[in-house]
Amino acid sequence: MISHPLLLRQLRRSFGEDYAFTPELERFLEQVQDAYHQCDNDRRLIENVLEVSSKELSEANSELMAQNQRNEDLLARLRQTLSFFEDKDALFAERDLMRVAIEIERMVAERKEVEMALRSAKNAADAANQAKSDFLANMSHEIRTPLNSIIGMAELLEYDSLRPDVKDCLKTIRISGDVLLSLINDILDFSKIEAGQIEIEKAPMDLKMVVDESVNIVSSMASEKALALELIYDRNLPEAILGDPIRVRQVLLNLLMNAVKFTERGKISLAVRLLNNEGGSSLVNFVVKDTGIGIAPDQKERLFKLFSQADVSITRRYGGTGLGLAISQKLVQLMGGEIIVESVYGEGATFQFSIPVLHSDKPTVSQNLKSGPPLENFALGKLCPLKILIAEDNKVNQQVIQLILHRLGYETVIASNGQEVLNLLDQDAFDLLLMDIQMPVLSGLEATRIIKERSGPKPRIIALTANATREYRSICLEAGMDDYLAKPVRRDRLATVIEETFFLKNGSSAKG
Amino acid sequence: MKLLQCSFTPGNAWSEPKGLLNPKDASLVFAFGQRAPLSHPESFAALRTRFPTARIVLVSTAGSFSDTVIEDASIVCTAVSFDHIKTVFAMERLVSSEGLVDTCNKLAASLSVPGLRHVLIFSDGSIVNGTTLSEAFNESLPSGVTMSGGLAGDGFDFVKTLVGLDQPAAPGVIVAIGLCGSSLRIGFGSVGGWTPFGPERSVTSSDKNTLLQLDGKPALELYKMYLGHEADSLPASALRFPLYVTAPGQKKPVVRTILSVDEDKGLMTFAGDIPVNSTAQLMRSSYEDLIAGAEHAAVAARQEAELVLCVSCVGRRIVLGQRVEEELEGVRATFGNNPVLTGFYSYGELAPSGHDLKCQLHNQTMTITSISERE
Repeated sequence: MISHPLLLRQLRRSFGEDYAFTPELERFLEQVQDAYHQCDNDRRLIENVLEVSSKELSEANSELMAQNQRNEDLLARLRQTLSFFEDKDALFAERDLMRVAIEIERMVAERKEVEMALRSAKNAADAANQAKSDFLANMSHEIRTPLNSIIGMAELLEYDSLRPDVKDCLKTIRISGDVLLSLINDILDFSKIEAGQIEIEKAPMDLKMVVDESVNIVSSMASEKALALELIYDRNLPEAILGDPIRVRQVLLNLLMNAVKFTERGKISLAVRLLNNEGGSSLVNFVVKDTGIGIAPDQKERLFKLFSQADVSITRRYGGTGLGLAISQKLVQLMGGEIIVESVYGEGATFQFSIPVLHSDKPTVSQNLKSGPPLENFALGKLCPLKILIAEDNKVNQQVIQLILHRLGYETVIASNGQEVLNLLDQDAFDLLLMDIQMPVLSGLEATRIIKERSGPKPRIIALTANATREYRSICLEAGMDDYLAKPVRRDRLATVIEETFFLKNGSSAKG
Repeated sequence: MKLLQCSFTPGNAWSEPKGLLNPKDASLVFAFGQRAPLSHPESFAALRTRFPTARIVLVSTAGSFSDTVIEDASIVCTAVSFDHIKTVFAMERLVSSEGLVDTCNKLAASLSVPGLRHVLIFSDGSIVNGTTLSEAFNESLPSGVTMSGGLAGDGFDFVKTLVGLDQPAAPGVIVAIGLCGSSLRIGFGSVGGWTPFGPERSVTSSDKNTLLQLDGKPALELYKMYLGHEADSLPASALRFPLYVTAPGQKKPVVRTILSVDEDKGLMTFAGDIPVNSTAQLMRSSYEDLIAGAEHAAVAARQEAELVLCVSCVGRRIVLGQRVEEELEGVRATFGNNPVLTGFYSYGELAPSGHDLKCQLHNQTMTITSISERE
């Protein structure tokens, strides 16, 4: 078949549209056609070769030109350098060069010096910061340990039948201890806030209990001043919310104590209400109202500043560190709210704040406990019989805790270090282990880790330490401890822990 | 010397013979044919019947020369009976390319008879490295003995090549024919007609006769770029651009032609070694240059020849296309009408070169050995 366009055209031109050839002629034409194709192919190939090779050559050429240019530049520089050396003033020029070199060297040295100074300054600052943290932790520990003894002993003695005047003295000792303790706490909190180290927990919390506790604590103070204390609690509030019970209590206590402190007559009220937000979410609104001295408009702004009280005379008259409100404001802000103060000078003040309600699915431990009347001496031991082991190296502290527990109706066993704890646990089973952290031979943390790795029934382990920092608490929990009690250990806190332990023990055995 | 030339086409019997020699008196027959007719089951029997007492040398080709006509479908047989020249034959079969030097030494030893003047070599062209072969023979043949011949071909297929002596042709076979006696007159010519073009490149990666990179770039890519639309018919189309290779430390460049291509590995296998750091340049040619090259080879080999053995490169056939026979016509015109002309398109030509007439592998050339007898 003839298909080459040129050959086809030539055939049509010579023979018209309809032509027929003999097979021989057809074969001949096919060979002619092959020759046409061969020519076409060869031409195309040659064109391609020309194109590719000229491209390659021009690339090589431009590379050569670039190389040439580089050579010329180099040559020019060389020539310049040579002429420079031939110059009569070369000596001066050389000296100039030397000067530049020296100058550069000097600048480099200077920069290095600055760098080193900066580095050592930073190291010093880091070290100072660390020293400050260490100091705070130590101070906390060092002050709390004797305070623990003072408050514990005073509290114990108050339960004894003593002369009323001695009892009053003891009470004063205890209250002074409490004030000192709260001062330490304030200073610690303040330093934490300053360092941005405060973290707000989102744990299941029994709001009603937190409010009740706070009111209970200030109720004695209020009754002493013959002030009425009123609690208005909204029934619509959920039983359990997610929040930080310690911090909520801290703020409430601060506001309530301030109210008591600055009110001579009348009443103090705390109202806790559920507010519905526009966006559908809920808020808990706390309002603390008093009929005290009030705050002058020009003093309002300074209220929440660190170390500032409304008036210098206030410090003289009412005492305090001036940290309380600043800390409370910061804590409320961290919880997503703001403390607002309204006051008519001389007629009283209203402090209120609202925090978002985050509903909790999990019940809080205390919700499951039947709250009963205040416990009489030895009553708890009968209601919630438990075997309790105390690990504490300090003799005074041993005595304090043992006495508190004795009052609550428990006979306890004492271990002076972690190793003794392990030995005692080998011999006998305990339900609750109150464990000091810093002990000789084997620390509380180490002992806890070993206990947790063991098989079989294990006691509930509650850390007892004067080291009140929050990191310390997480260290305790990470080591496997179940909860944490700050020293000085208070009778009511200890009772709560015992109740919880009893509930958990019986709850789990009931399940089993 | 008496000669007879005729062709055998399987299934189509013999063509009309040319020459005065009675086939029964033939002592040597060159049987050149493409792989298909050569390996046809009836071919060897037909040859043996026709030439009952001759030593029959079979070589597969990329086209066989019957005078100035190129035969692809038939086996071109050129029968010879020498008056004075004595012949000696040797054949070896190579299993792998490693044993090549030993095989060549063995062959050379078999041929070492008194009066040996020239050796005709017909070798497998797939697994045999022509460079190694010619160097091995140069080492082992007595000095003054010249050598020429060629590597077998396989059309444009590059699959396998066959050679045989007195038995059907097979892969890996090398046949050597020693020509002895003072009456032997022999002439050589080997000319290409190719011109290097484009940039000179450096061989940056290669192993013996496989080439990987030129100037740090894949050689196969370079070939594809130059071939353009012809790249579809690799490896045959790569023969259009032989490589002009000057090995490091050598002054005389050699022409190297492509044997096969491994697309996956990017390898190109050449008919001779391409050492690393050689300079290499692509070559091209025109019909006129190739035909003129063939004529120059004929001029170099010219004498009062009786038999003209032409070994031309398959690459030339690819370039020349339909005009391929013009190079044979050029040879014929140079030698006149008398001598019998035969030969084949090969995968590598062997011919003496240089002042010492050492045998060398040539690529892309027309290589001519002219033979005559005189008292």
